[in-house]
Amino acid sequence: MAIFDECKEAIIQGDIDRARELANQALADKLDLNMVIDAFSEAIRHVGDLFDEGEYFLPELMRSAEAMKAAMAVLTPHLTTGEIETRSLGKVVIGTIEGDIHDIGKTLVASMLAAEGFEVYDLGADVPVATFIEKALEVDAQLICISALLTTTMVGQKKLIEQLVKQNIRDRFKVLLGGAPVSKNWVAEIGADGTAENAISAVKLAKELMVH
Amino acid sequence: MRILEQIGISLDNQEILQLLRSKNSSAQKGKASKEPSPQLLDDIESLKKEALELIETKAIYEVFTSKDLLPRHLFELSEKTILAVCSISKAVEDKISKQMDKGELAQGVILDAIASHAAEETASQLTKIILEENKEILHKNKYTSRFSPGYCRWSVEDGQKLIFSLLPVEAIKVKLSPSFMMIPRKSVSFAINIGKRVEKDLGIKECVTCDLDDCDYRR
Repeated sequence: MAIFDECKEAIIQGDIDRARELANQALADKLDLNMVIDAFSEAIRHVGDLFDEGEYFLPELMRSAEAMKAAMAVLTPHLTTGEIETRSLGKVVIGTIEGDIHDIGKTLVASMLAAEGFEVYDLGADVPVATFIEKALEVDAQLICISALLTTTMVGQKKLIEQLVKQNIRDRFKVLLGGAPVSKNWVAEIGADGTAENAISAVKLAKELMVH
Repeated sequence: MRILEQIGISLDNQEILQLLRSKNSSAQKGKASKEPSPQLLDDIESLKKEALELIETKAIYEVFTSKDLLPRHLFELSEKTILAVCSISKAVEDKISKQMDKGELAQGVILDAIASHAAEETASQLTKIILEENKEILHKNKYTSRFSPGYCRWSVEDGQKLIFSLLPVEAIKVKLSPSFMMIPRKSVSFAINIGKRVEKDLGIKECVTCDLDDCDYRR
């Protein structure tokens, strides 16, 4: 099997050690790293589709994301700054809003965004609105992803939008909302840019928003 | 008021797998889907054992007169209302956090699904115990399924305020955050209405007949 196919297979199988090994082999063989990363990336997109179609379960998706992360940890230091910038799909600041300590859904979205090529700044859970904005400005992010798992904490998503408007920087960022109680009506009501019901849909939506 | 500990629960792999599927998947839409891999089933089995060692089920409940309870639309047809809170304790959540922090995402999401299922299973077993312990009141009346804040047009805020103001939940080491989130997170609070006129379908059965098709809490 050619190494590119092996790279894809390692991601599809969620084989973390093999993905890392293949990344090291690619370095040793002085292969075109962009082609190697393309192979890994193609596989992680395929895994996302398999999850969406019900062929993969969440832990299998996560193993593939972990394998992708392991491979990229080997390869990224050997890319030039220009290559890293070219490959990056954008910068994302992500977190769960203040008052809410649910972390897992947000972490899954962050992992899949990173696996697909976004530069992700994960602020964790229970994050004040001001911290989201400060970080997004600091890293010059294009996207802010803000999660809320309770109807009582969703109001923090609205506060974020209001603050962006108040500071006259709403146009600088696309804002994605996450969390079980978040509906399209809520997105429209507070003037956010979208919501997705799982990590795979979130990545697809984030990519779409980066284009528009 | 009644406090219970060590409520026996059994964990069903199919329920856990259901929580680990994409909501878009064919299996979630009632169609056949791929069987889980042997590795996934092995992981679930070993993490179930780990979880069961960490889980400490606890519960508290009390029977109240319904006439003073708000919002009235939920309680106006009932004579008595049982309010209850149960939890599987914080130890499993700590373990999940550690795994996620270490980047062991696959293990973390499996354990989280097990814990979620365990919390629901504890609520189901508690309901059976409540029904058994209160059969003298129940046999002359109709009663609803259990229903929780956030469901059945009962807001999280109103529901949790009511339940946590009437039950001394600190006795089972559950507390409410300022945003009305239960800590530990894997806790369930609920009510059961009892009376000659209650609508039996109120509660978890109601989603099937509820007209709020796009309700975020639809089961």
